[in-house]
Amino acid sequence: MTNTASIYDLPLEVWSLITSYLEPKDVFHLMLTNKTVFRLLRSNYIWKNLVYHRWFDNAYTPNLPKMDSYLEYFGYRNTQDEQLQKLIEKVLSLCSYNDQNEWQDLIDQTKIIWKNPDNFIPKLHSMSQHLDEKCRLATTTTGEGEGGGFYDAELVKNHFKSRLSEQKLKKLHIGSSMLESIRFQKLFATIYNAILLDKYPQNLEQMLLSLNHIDPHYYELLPARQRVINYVITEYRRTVDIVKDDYTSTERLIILIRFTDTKVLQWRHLWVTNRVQCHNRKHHSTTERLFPDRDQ
Amino acid sequence: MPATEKNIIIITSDGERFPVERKVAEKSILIKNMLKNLLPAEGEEDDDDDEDPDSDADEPIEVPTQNVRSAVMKNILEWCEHYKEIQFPDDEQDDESKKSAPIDPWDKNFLNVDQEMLYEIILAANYLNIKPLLNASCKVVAEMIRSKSPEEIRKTFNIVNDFTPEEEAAIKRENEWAEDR
Repeated sequence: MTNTASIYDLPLEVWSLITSYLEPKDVFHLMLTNKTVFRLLRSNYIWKNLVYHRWFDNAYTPNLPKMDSYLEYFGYRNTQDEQLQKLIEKVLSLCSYNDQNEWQDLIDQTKIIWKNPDNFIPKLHSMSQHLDEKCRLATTTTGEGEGGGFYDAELVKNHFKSRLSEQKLKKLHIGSSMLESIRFQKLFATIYNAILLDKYPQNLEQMLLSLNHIDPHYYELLPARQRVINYVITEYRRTVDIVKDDYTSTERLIILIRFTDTKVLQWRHLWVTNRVQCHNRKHHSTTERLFPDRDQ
Repeated sequence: MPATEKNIIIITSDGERFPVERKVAEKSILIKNMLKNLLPAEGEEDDDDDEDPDSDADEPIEVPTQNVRSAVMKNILEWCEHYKEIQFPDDEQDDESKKSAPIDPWDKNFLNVDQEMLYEIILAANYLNIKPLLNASCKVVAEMIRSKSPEEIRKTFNIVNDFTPEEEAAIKRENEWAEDR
């Protein structure tokens, strides 16, 4: 056994943790330092996390696809995001609708995006993210508002300032319009399937995602999803007071899924019978909608 | 006083013996689980707040740790001693705010060691399963990498570049997304 360690001694699992604190770009720069490092860090073990974190964390599309190389996939998705960005800039810079070529170009690019709108939701969403989200993050990291209850007026003001440059605002507008139209397309598809074809979502995950589209608080719900899941877990822990070390994580998971499934079946019933009313009920927060019996 | 009883003896790879309190040693989940098997009676206490181990101070228990040498163990135990009263949450979730949270100033100062020691602390924390220490030390390494060019990273870590210029260019070409623009 040697008495000193070098950077090459760090195992992949440690690197996975280190890279989780870094931007993908930093990880790539690290890979470029040397062949040994490159071979180690191009591993799917590292890049799967980075891909997941960037595009799948909030489950716009529920499943991370199986890939041979997540490093390549990262590049692919990143390029797509850039295409989107370019398209939006193009829309902004289009001064007249008379230029036939430019117009056609714009239409072609839009078609690419509409071919697979799911791929663009994360980017569109992060562009047009609800103000609350970032403020909440900002306030919780200051350590003040435990649980994110308090807004720091100064922070909110700065946040507005940073967002409200005119160019940014316009991009935000285009981004949210695109997101909105994707949402409506999906909503109509869901309703069409349910009413005309009598086809309902197959599983829990799809069910939740379809519910998302109906919800006017769609934009808040998507990033809140992880928190909603955490809420279910804590709720379950409180209700079922058996979470001790004598349960393995798999057993816990099974209990959790059963617990959630019963809840969801209730909601589903509610949803199917009140399909239309649901849409009109505006001022319920997302969590209240998902947990209708929480405070009553 | 039983509270300060150092009835756990950690033995390092080079044979040095470190007597410590149980709650210090139990900052390592590896050791904690080991002790749980050895002394189920005390572990039974729901591991809420550490009840003073009021067992009649039987024989001290020896815990061998083959992978950690004494110079490193000294540091690790200093960290465990500092945090002995703090209950870390059991399963830490990958919270976004936690990820971006700055390193605790005490940890930062504690981890202000030369690189080799830092790696050894990481390896030991990984082996002994001390999550908060592992996270903090990995954050330190991440900060040494963040926002640097490959060349700057090489300098920081003493990494020798063995790519030919062509190879480097090819990799960059395949990964255009990472280029500055």
